[in-house]
Amino acid sequence: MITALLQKLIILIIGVLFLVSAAIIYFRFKNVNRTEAAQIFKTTQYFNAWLILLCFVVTIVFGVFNHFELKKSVHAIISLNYSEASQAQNSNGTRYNMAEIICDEVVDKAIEKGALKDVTTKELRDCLVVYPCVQGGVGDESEYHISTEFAVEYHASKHTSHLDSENVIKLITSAYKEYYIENYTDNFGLASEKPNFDEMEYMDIAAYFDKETLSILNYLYGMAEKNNSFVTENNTTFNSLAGRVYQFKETQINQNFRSFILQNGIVRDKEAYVDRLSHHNKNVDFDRQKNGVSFDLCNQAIDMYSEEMTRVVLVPTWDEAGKYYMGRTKVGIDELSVLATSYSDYVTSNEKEIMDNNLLIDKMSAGNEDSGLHESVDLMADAIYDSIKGFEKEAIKAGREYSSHKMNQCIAVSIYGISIMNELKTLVLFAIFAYAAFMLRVISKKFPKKV
Amino acid sequence: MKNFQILRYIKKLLPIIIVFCLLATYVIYYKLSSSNTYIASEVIHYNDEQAEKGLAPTGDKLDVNEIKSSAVMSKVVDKMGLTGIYSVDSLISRIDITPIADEDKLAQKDAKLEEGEEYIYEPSTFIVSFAATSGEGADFARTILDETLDVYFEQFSQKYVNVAPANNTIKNIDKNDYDFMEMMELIDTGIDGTLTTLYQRIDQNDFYRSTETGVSFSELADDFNYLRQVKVSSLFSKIYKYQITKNKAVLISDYTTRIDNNTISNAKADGIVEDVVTLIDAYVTKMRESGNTNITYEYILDNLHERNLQDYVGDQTVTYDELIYSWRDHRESKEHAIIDSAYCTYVIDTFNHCTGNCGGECASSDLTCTELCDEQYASVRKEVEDELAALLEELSALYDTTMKTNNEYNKYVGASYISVLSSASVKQSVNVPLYTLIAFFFLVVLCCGGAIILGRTGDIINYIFYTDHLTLFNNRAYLDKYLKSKDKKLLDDGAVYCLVDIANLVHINGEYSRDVGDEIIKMFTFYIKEAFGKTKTEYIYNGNGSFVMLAEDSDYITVEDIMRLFRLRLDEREEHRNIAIEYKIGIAETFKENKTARKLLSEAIKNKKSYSSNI
Repeated sequence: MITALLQKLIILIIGVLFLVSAAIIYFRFKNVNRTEAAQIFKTTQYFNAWLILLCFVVTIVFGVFNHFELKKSVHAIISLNYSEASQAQNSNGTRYNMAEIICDEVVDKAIEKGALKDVTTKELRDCLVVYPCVQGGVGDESEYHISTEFAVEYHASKHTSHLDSENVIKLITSAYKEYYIENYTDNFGLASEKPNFDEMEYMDIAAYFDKETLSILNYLYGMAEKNNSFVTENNTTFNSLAGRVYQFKETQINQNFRSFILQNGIVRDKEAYVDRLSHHNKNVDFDRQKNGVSFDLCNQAIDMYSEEMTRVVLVPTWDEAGKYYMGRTKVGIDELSVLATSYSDYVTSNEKEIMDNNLLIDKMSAGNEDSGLHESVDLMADAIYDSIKGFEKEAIKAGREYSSHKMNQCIAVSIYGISIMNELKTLVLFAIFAYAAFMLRVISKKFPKKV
Repeated sequence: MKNFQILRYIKKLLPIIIVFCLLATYVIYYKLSSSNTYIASEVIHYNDEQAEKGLAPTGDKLDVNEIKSSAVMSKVVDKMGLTGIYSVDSLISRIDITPIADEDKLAQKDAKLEEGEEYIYEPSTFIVSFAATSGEGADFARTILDETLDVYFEQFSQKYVNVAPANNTIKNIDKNDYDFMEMMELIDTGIDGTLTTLYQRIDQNDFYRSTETGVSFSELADDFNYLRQVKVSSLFSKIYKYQITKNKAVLISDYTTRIDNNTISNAKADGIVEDVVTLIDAYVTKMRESGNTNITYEYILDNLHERNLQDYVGDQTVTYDELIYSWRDHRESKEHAIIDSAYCTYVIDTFNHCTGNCGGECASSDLTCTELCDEQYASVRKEVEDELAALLEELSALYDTTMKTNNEYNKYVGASYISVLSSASVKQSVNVPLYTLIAFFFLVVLCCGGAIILGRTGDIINYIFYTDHLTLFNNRAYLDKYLKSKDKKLLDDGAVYCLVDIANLVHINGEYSRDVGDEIIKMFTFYIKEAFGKTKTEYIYNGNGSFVMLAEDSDYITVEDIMRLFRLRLDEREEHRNIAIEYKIGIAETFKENKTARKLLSEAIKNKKSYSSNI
């Protein structure tokens, strides 16, 4: 604040000196004739050692304050390095919005990261400006341009003058990078804390494991679809990792763990569990009845569809490859048949669920109460859980490796401080101005006050 | 009068012209800058092929003006924290949407229309612009445009692509006075609806994963299924087994009413089904009679059709099919109502069931048998309430994740259906430097024109008021004006004043007539001009045969020589040789003590010497 004031004060003093000297010359001009005036200008010593020294000292003082003022302004360039950036998209396919670089969330994060004191989000945000480094136009197609490099400028205000400018811009860009990675790069949601298996039925634990492994598989298959040939540092591909997880799910969870529980009828609360399955069967049976009725009705509708109304017309058609084939018009029974098939599938699925539950009820009812078996299952559950977590970590590591490979760190940041050349340019201009003002003052003194 | 000399006029007012033009240009620059607007523009393109038919992906009319709808803009205002600062309408009025038509397709359309064929083409590329005032700045324009399109992309996807939302219908369900059974049924139905929506999403994009939540739709479906399979069914089972209810009588009444309603709607459905069957028969009979059913399997259409005609998604159901579907639907709702009644009966039986422990007391009581005689009832009910609260909490968290994932999916789908061809660029509505330059030149031309007019007018005024018409020299009034203007100024070195007076002019006028006197004056005028030649001199005829010459950049000796030449020329004259002319000449030059015009003139008068020209 003080440096800004002093810097401006120096410029003001020199400016006033310049104007006053010019005014004196103007008003005293009438006291001399043209020849005398010309003589004054001709005889003035334009290279005066004392003036040069004075000018040098003033310029140095100005330079010091100017340097401190310039230090308050810095800028950074943020480049988007991923392929979707050229379509004005984030790496997750959503629309890219440049304004997010200095959004409240990012500024908040920067303040938090740098533990910046005595500054609010709004005050800091007001000091920041963001704009594309290169912008296109909309007049003609050749002018179209998708910006992938953005400049962030920081100009300290009176509220933020106590902060180190370079540090602020570093914090902002770093906070934005984190914000971007959090919001727009590949992410695999980790399961929340480990559930309390002691309170869960064993078959529910199996279902939980099934769900968790499916989640990992879904992530891996998704990544494999993006790039199935990507090889991690551990020489695995997404598909090979998915294969291992799938194999584990089938053998360890579905065969070993589930079968062991089923065949031994291991249950924590037999009565409650059997009640639950029985009730579930009752509900599924209502669904089965509804699906069965819908299936029957579709069949009846097909039966009552008049034979005369089933006439079809052949339509000569060519496909997208340019090949000819004979299409036929559809009639209602086509759709009814498809519908009947799906209802039939639902009925089968309902019946299978009831049968599975009945099997469970039978096995659990005749179950073994041996506490040793419970201990074995608990140990198995813990081991499987640990393995699943291991797969989860491996999957996330592979995913992050891929993201880093694909997006080249997503965004790159370069920070630009004060340019020495710019500073020198300002100093040279100031020195010329100051010397001109001093010289004008010297000349003005040579003009007589009165005729 | 002086000659018409453009440069002379301009030169005279040049400093004023320059100062005025610079000041006026600055004012214009300031005005242009302050009234200038920043226009941020972005080019967007609807990728869906239906867009070129003017349709949205759902088949609805594509209305691009939705970009500046109040629904979008109010969200932008909220998002940017501009509530109370800007009104939605004021921002809407600053958005402009310009279509960019594909020239080839327009030509194709014209050609097809000329041939009488139908061809629908609507532009699918648009320039969206937002104008900000100079006070608001370029950044404001860019940010508003960015935010507007962000919100629009999301809304477009929500409205036309990803239409089915996964709403949380069970929020605060425990705060309302629902019975346990009703709550569980609502939860079950809610999960069922959510699962249907999630499966639709999985069909559309099975590997889509939100970067914000880190989950995919299939994982969400698995989570909902797991909760339904484990916790929902466990709670159902406990509620049934322990006959847990807040009010048995109300619960039984509810389910009895459901059975009654089903019975009534079934009776109504029976009537409708009968009517539909009658209609079906009548329809077939009429079609048969009209010969429309006589199509054989050999019938082949004449025209060749492209595959896309077959792929056209639209309602191709014929009336007969609609009748058949109507029959099936009504029958289905009837049969499902029967099953639903059976379910209601099951619920009623369950809650009316007597375990035998109460000794038949429950039949006439408002409490269930378990509530009456099972000691565990209170603790189980508490357990159910806690579990229900935990389930609702878990479901709410899951719904929040689903909403977030869905919102991000909307943005993703929005960005895939609408692409950005050129990101936001900001331009000024007026090129201030160019217009300022044009204004400067215009002002210079205008001022020069003004200077010429003023100069020429000055010449005319000079000629009328300050010129002696006999000699065409400046007159006495001019001399007075000159002396007044020089009152406060010092004369430059080299200023020489010279006076020439015809001393015997009165005598000449009297003896030879006034005309002769005038001719003598003209003769003097001629010789004086001839003698001074190209020197920088102003000539004044002060009346009564008195001439004043004000020479600049000269000196006494030069003027004295000029006067000597004048006298010589006068003595050698051809005309009026018979008339004796007496005259006086006074010359004065500036020096240290007499630097003012009046002093110099007095000096010249003082220095007058008499001469005579008598041939």
